[in-house]
Amino acid sequence: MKKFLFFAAVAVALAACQKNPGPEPGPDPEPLPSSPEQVWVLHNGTWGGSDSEIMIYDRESGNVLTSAFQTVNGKRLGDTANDMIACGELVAIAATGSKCVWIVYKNVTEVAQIVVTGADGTALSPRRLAYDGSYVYITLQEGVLARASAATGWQAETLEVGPAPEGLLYDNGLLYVVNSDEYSSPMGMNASISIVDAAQFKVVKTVPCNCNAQQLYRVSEDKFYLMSWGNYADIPAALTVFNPKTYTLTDVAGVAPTFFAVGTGNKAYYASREYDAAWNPTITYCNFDTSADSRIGEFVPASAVKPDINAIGLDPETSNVWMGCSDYMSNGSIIVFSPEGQEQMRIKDTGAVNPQAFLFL
Amino acid sequence: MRRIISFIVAAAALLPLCVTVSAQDIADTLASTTITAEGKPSAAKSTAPVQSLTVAELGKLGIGDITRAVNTFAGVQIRDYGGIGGVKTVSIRSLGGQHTAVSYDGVTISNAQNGQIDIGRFNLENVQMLSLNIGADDNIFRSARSYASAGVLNITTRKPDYSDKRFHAGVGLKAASFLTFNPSLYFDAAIGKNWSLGLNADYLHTNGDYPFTVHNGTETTTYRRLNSDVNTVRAEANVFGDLGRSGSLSLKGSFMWSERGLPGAVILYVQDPTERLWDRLSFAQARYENHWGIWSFQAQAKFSNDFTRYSDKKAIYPGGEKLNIYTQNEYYLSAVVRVSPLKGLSISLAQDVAVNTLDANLERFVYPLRVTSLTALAAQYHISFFTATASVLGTYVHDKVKVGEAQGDKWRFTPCISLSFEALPWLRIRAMYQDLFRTPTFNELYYTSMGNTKLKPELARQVNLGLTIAASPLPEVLSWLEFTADGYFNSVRDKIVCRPTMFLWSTFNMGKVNIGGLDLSLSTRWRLPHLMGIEFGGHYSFQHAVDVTDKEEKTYGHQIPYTPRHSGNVSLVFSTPWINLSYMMTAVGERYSWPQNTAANRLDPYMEHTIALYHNFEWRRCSLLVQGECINLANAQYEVIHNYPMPGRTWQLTLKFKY
Repeated sequence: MKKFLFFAAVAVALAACQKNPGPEPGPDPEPLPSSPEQVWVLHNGTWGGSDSEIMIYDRESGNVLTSAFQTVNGKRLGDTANDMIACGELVAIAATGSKCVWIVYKNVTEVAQIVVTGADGTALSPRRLAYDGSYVYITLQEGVLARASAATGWQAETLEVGPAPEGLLYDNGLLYVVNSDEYSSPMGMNASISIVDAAQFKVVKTVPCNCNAQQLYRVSEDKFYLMSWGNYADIPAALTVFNPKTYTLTDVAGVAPTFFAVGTGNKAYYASREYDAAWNPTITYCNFDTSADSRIGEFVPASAVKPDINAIGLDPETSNVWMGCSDYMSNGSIIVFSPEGQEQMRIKDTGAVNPQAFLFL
Repeated sequence: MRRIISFIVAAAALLPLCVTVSAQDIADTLASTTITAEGKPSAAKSTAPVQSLTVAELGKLGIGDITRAVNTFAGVQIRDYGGIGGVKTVSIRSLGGQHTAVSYDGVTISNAQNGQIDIGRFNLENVQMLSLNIGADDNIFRSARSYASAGVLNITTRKPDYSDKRFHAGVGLKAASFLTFNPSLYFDAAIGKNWSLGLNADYLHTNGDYPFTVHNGTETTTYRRLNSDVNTVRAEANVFGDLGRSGSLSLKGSFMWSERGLPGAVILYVQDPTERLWDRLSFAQARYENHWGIWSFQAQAKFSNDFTRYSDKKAIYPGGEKLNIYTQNEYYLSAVVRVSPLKGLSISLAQDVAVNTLDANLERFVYPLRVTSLTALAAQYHISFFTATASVLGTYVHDKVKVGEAQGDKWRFTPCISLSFEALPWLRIRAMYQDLFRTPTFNELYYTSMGNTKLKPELARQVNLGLTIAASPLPEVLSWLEFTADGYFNSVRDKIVCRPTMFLWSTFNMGKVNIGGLDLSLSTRWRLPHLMGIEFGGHYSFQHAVDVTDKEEKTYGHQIPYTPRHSGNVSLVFSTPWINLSYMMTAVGERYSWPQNTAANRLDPYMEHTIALYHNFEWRRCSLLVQGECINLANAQYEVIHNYPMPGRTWQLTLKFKY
C-alpha cells in the first residue's frame, strides 16, 4: 500500500508540475520608424492562422520593422487581412477572416475596431476599402457596402450591392463596387459594377461586367480599367476598359492580368499568370501603355521575381514598382524595381506570410 | 434510425437493474476475465517494429478511445483537430497519413477521395486488439494491399469464446464532461455447432463545448468551443462459420451514421463556425480461409459505400448555403495463397483488385473511376534464431473520368526485405528496407480547379535497424522486461503538396523530405505481494524530419510541420485485488505549424496526464466494470494542430455490465 501511495503521489506531483503555456512572449522590441516617409506592407498570413501582420519600411533609415501591429498594440491583427488604405491621419486595415476593420494612427496605435454586422447580428467579412475624405467605405463579401467615420463613432451604415463584392474605387462623388459573384455556381456569371452615390449612399446604377471581376483602376475621369479573373477554367482572365460616363466596357485584346497597377505618364504594370495542364505556371511581367491600351513589352524577366508575385504597388514618389513575393510556405519577400526594370532593393524576409498590399505614406 | 436509438437508450436504462452486486459476491468471484485474447504479435521477435495492445491491456490502462490507444505507440503522430468530432489521422514516422493504412479485421480501409482515414470513427468497445506494424509484417498470409503502406494500424474486433456459455451479452454506458454520453450494447450467440452471430451497436452524443484559452499578445481570454457537437450511431453484425475441413468463413456488415459540427480553426476576434458534416459509412465484407497440408488459401471481398454531406451556411453563398455531397463506392476482391514447401520456408502470392468511384455535386466535376491491381509475392524463412522476410509488390492503377482527361496509367514494383537474428537468447537484432509508392488521390488529381492530372506518384523509402531485448530477469519480482530500440532513415521524393497560387489552391510535386529518427520502448511487469502488481512502460521518439527540397528556400533544413523532435509516453498500471489504478503521461516537444520554423509558427510543448481508477466486479457469470477517469488531469491548454485547441480536464465515468 505504501508503494501504491508513493506512485499516486508521484503522479499527482507530475500533474501539479504541468505548466500551462503562458501568454506569448512579445516580439523583440524594435524602434518604430521615426520618419514619416514609410512604406507599409500588409500580409495575409496563413489562412485560418490569425497571423496577418504589417511590415514597415523606413525610407530614411532603410530600417524594417516586422510585426508592427503586435509590437505597437500588444495584440495580433487577425486573420487574412486583405486591404489597407490611408484615411487622412489614419489608416484603415481590413481583416477578412477576423471580420473586422482596424483604424490605426500612422504610428500603428489602435484607434478603433469596426465590426459590420448583418440583419441577424452576425459579423460580415470585409474585403476592400476606399476613402472619400470623410468616410471609410468597406466592401463586405456578403453583398454589402458599408461606411463609417470618426464623426459617427465608427458605427457602420450598410447598403446592399451585388453578389460577393471585391474591388472598390471612389472617384468624383461616386463609389464603384465590383461584385465578383465568385461564390455562385457557375461562378462569376452575374458579376457587375454597382455605382453608388456617396452623398446619398444609394445605388444609382448597376452595370453587368466580365466573369469574376475583381478590381477597378482609375486612369482618368472617363477611363477605368477593370481586371477580371474568369472562372479558372474555360473563361480566361481579362482586362477591360470601363467608361464611367457611358458605362461601356471594351475588352483589351491579349492582356489577362492577375495583378495590375496604374502609374504616371500613361504607364501601367501587370503580372500575368497562366497554367498548363500540370499547373506549371508561366508568369510574365509587362508594362502597359494606358493611352494605347496595349502591352509595351516585358518589364522584368520571370527569373527576376522569386518566389512568385503576390502583390504589386507603385511608389508615387519614385515611380518604383514594389512586388510582394510569396511561396506561402515561408515568410514573404519584397523586390523593388525602377520604372525601367532595374532591381533597386530586396527585403528577403518580411516577417510574415503573403505580402498582400502596399501603402506609401 | 429512431428504432436503433430507442433500443440503445432502453438497454442503457436497464443497466442499473442489473448491477446489484454484494461485496461478498465480489470477493468470492474475483476471477480472471473470460475474454479470449487473440495471438499477440511478438515485438521482440519481429523483423520490423510492431507494437500491440490487447483488450486486456487496454482495459488495464483504462484507455477508452482509439486515439489515445494509438498515441501509446512509438513512432506515431496523430493529427487531432480536437474534441470527439475532430478528424484524427495517423502518420508513421513523418511519412504522412496517406502512407499509413488502417486494416479492419484484415481488410484495409481505403479513401480514394483524400487518402486519409479518420480513426475517430472506430469504437474501442468492440476491439479485441490493436497493433501497429511499421514497414514489413512477418505475417505473409495477408492481402496485397497491406504491403502498400509504410505501416498498418490493425484493428481486430472481438471474437467471442463459447467454451463456457452459449451466448454473451453486455451493455455499457460512458458519461463524460461536456454532456457526453455513449450507451452501447452487444450480443453474441453460438448458433448450432459451427456458427455464431455477434451484434453490437452504440450511440454517442457530445456537446463538445469545452473551454479553451486564447493568448493574443498580452491578452488572455477563455472561450468555449462552438459548433462542436457530435451525434453518432454505429452498428455491426458478424457471422462466423467453422466449416470444418471446408475452412472458415466470416461475414461482417457495418454501418455508421454521424452528424457533427465543424468548429474550425479559432479565428481571432470572431467566433461564428457554420460548417456541418453528415457521414453515412457502410460496408459489407466476407472472408474465407482454408488450409490443406502445406497449402493455405484466403479470399476476401468487400463493398463499401461512403456518403458525405457538407453544409456551410453563410450569407456569402447564393441561397445562404453551400452544400457539397460526395459519394464513394469501393468494390474489392483479394485472394492469397501460401505454401510451405520446406521446413521454415513459406511463400505466398496475393492478388487484389479494387474499383473505386467518386460522385460529387461540384461544378465541372469529372466523376473519376479507378481500377487498382496489386500483386504481392512474398517469401519467409524462419528458424529459431533467424527470420528473413522478403516481398515485392506490383501496383497498377488505371483511372477513367466522365469529363475531361484522366491521368495516365501508373505502375511500379516496390520491394521490401527484413531480417531478425538472435544474437543472444535475450537479444535480437533486426533490419528492414522498404520502397513505397503512393498514387495521388482523387482530390489531388481531379478536384475542381485544384486538381492536377499531371501529378507524379509520391515515392518514399524507409530503412530500419534495431535491437530487441526480451527477458524475465527476476521471475519473482521483475517477471517480464521487453526493450526495443530502432533507428531509422526515411526519405520522401516528389512529395505531393497543396498550396495557394495567387488566388487558387493547387497540387504539385515539389517536396523532398529526409527523416532520421530513433524509437525506444520499454515494457516491464513487476510482481508485488498480496496479488498486487505493477506494469510500467513507455516510449521515446526522436525525429529529425527536414525539408531538403531546395537550398535556396527559407524552409531548407527546417523541421517539417507538426513533427516534434522529441516525444514520449509513460504508462503505469498498479493492480490490487481491491482496485486498480492506471496513469498515463504523454509528452510532446515543440513543433512548428508551418514549413518555415519561425517563432511565430512555433507550437508550445505539452504534457498530458491521465489517471483512471477502476474495478471489475464479478458475480457468478456476470461482471460489472466501474471506471472513473480524469483525462488531462493538469488541465493543460494545448494544440496538436495550430488554432484547434484540445479539451482541457475531462472527467469520465464508465459502467460495463457483461453476461
